[in-house]
Amino acid sequence: MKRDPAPSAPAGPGATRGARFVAAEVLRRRRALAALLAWSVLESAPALVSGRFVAAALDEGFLRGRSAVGLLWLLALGGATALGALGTRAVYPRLGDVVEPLRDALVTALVRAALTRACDGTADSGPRGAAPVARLTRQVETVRDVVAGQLLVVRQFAATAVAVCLGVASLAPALAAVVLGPLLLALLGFAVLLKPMIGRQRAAFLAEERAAQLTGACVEALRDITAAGAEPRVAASVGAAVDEQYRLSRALAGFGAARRAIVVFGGNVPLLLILLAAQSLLRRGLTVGALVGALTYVTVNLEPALRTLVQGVGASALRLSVAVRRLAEGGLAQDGPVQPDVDAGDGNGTTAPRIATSRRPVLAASGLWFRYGPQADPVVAELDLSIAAGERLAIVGPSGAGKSTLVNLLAGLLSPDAGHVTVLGEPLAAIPAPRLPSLRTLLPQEAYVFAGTVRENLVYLRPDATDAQIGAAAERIGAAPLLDSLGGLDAHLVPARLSPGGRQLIALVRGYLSRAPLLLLDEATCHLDQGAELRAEAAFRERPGALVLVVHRIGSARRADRVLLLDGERTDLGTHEDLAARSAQYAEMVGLWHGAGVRAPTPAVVASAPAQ
Amino acid sequence: MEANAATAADRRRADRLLLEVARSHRVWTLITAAGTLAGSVLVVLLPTALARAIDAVTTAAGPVAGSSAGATGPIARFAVLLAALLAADLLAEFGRPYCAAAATASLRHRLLDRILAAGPAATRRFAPGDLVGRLVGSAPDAANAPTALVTAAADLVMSAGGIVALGLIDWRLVPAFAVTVPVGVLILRAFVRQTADLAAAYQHTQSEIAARLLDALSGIRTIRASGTREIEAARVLAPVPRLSEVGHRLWRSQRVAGWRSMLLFAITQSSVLAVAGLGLVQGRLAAGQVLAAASYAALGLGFFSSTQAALALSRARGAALRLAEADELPRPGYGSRDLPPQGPGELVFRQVAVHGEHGPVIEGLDLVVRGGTELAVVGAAGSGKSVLAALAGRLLDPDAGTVLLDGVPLPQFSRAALRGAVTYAFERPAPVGESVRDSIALGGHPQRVEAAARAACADGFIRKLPEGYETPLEQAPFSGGEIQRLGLARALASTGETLRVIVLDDATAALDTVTESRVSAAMGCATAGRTRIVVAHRAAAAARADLVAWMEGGRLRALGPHRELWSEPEYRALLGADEDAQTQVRA
Repeated sequence: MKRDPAPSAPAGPGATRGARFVAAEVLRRRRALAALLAWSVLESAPALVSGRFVAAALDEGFLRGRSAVGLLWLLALGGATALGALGTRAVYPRLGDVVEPLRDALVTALVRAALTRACDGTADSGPRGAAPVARLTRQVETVRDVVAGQLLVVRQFAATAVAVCLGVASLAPALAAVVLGPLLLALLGFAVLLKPMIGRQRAAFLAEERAAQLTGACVEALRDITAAGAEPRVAASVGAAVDEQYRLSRALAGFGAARRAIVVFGGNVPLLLILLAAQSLLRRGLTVGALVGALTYVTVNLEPALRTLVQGVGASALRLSVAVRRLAEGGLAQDGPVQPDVDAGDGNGTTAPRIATSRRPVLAASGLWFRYGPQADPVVAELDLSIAAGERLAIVGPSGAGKSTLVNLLAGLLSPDAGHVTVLGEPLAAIPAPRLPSLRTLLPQEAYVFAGTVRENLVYLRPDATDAQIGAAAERIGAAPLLDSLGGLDAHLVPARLSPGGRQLIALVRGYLSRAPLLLLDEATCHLDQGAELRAEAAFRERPGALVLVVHRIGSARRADRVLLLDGERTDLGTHEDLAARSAQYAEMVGLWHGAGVRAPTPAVVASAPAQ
Repeated sequence: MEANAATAADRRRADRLLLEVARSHRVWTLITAAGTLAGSVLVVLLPTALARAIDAVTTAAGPVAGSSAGATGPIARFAVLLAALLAADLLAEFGRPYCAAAATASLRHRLLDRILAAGPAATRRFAPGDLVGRLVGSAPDAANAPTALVTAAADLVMSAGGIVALGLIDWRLVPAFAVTVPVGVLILRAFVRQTADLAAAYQHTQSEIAARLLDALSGIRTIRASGTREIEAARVLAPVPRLSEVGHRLWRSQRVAGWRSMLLFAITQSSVLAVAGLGLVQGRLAAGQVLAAASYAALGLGFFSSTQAALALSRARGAALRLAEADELPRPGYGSRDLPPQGPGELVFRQVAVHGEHGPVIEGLDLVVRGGTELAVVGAAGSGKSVLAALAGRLLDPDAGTVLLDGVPLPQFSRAALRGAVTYAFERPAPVGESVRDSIALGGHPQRVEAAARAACADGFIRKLPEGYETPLEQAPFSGGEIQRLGLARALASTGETLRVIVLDDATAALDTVTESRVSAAMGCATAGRTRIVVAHRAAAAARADLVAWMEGGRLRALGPHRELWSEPEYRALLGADEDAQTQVRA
């Protein structure tokens, strides 16, 4: 995410990529576009004949006192307009045929990009998920609306302009030039105006966004701002953003005026020119009806169409360019064909390694070193570790010590800067990604539960599990009552209705069912009450394979075979008793986790309640 | 919601606010109004001028042969009118965004000042998102009010003018036009009803996809570890075909409005032209007037689209109403007194009461916190702990009673004096500013940032960030415990010589016990000799304090040292004899 975008920031390659994606998707609908074009021709029928029929009604009818003939021509005009209405009626569904597949393509590309980026760890920072979801709803809808609107307006203008020019030319070829000249100049002027106008509009829009963002941060932090007495400082910084937005949006005023001038020039000036030309043309045989007809073309058809074009294209082109840029930020179009990196069904279930016979350590790490940036302090430094089958390792440490980072390294979700991790003797780096899930299962603190049946949620890591196996696992973990309350395996699960503890139980059953020899639980039981946690831990103790637990209660550490203490760069590995004896930090931790509240308070009474 | 409940007084306040804004930019408002209204009058005059010019041209060229000079005048008049129209429109087009931008900016400044002056009281009255919406969304809407009013008036002038002009050409044209009005009304009503349901279904499906994506993103670590990205993509996208189907139906329903309004236009046009044509035959009209009649009929039909201007106007008034509400935020203000010299930092609550929506939040609170002591405040959720903490530094003014610091009522202090004397750390500190350093230095001393972060045990994880202290806030996804330590560092960074009271409102709740004890020790050192008020849930924190205030239902249930209160079973239950302590007992 770019910070503090320069107000005059150009569209950039991102916008170009996004625009290309949208354009390619639109152009791919050739049949729908052709149908749209065909109906547009019908829609412009009244524009084509209006002046001609009015001319005929006057010349052959009313001006000769033949009312019936005149009325007949007008009736024909009404009929042509009705025909045009039929065209309009057919245009909208064709528009849908172009725009709906575009929306589908956008949504699909964005969802894939969001998941891919989140998986690669290049996801947006900030409130997690807010940006992708805003893209999915607001920006995609903007693109859909604007593309449809532009197709309507531009197409209608083009059809009308052609019809009017043909019509005027058929009435009086000399007048066609008088109409076409100013119109072309107006369009040229508009084309020249468009680029700087969109640039300015974008600058104003970005300034608006920035002001909104700063306001939001300010309002969220009001209590903190007041408590720190920082009102003047915040008022100045948010106020500056408001003023910047004011300055930039004021600068747009000139463009509005210029657009109006363009419409007058292209839509009204031809009237004047026709009148001037008519003085001599009438003497050379131009009929009164033809004159009125030509003027009808301009006033009734051309001017409104030009006005719609000039006013509509400017504003919506901005919306489109901004939305497309936002979409490009969401990874649109750099996506490409997604590699089928995993064949989940296969990888998870069928090739269960033989754990019992293996003598190698299930998990080993040597010389592990990791930090988040070249300037950053290391999170893990020179760590060596080895866990055998059937062994349970607890990782403890204060918050922020890097426990989850270490788990990610051990699970192969992060690559270490130095050192390596092996699972069953194989270096993690050499194991193809699709095979990893069959070797190790990671249950994070934030349990993932999705909209689907309860069964689908439970067999996530072992699609071939039978109902009996699921039932047994749920019984072991202590999730059976939860499954009953959810309505059984076939019930539909609504993630939002599940408590954090319930989510963790579902994930635990899932992990229990997995056949991977290495199981990593990263505070995966933190939302359970203690009884439930004990039961789940006991179940995992019976499960074959090795277990790594990040724990938040010291009891879990005491029950483990060995404990890894992480505290900044220092690490210490040993049994609970060893560590309690030799590590001051560990002793402090154990003492505090046990004995909060038992230290004697200072006796002095230094405050008192006044008598009531 | 507010709009429905708005009283006449509210509306008057909103209108007054709009008037004030319009008046403060009166030059541009007047220019815009003049341009818009003049433009609408000229638009009505134009077809008549064109008709006169046509008739002059045809008469001049016709067999009856007037002189060609006869046509020059009307054509020149038409040209002048066209130029005048252009000039008026340019004024209006230029003035409109100018007005709107200026009014938006002044409304935003005004609201921002109000919000900052009200402080936390603002977010007690309105949800934060609501306030932001008022400042970001309502301000421009309300700023449009003057131009929307003028535009609505201009629309009315044009469509009424069109109909009047029809009548002036020939009264028979008016009934020919009016025949079509009922059809127009029917068309508009049919459209609104049809699309509403479909649009709702569309949005529902859309948010279903969004919810699935959010679910998947929140479980991304599981998905990564399980290698199930493709399966998840398919799951999130499953509702897309349904979305597409509703979308196609929406387009089909839209066409109804489109083609019906074209039909309406066709009918009106034909009926007016027919009557005009008959008038031509009977010598009531000249040829140019037939074209004028067609133009006026189109102007008259503009009545149906003028609902948009009316809509904009009512939206502007609704927005003004929302702004006027926020304009009424309380303005606590500050006094002018400095701190009394060498005060110990003694806080006195005298008969303090705070009323909530559903009864008292704090009632009859009398409490003296001697200078330099530590008071722990404990109590169940909703007992008034945090309110007491807010009162101590005037984040909230009591509805009755007084809070005094070293003998001076808090409202008498200047902002600098009060904020220099009392500092806060919260359970969920809000990040402010660009970088981590900015956020810690809020209201304080930049040179103290790193020392404060070290004391708050935040230095370690800050240095692990990609750019350390300069890491932009939005690129630093902190855990709850880390955010709390940033808040503690902020409180410490603002402790100068003037500090007398530090208030920790549940400021260590998300820390693990080791970190909490380290932070507490460091905080103790850094604020030695100052008065401390600590809202706490843990027995350890209560035990460290000199005195414990036990709140219950907005009242002070008991005040005493922890070891005395510990004998009460209810007190022990409140501080949750720790789970691990229980295990230890069992072991």
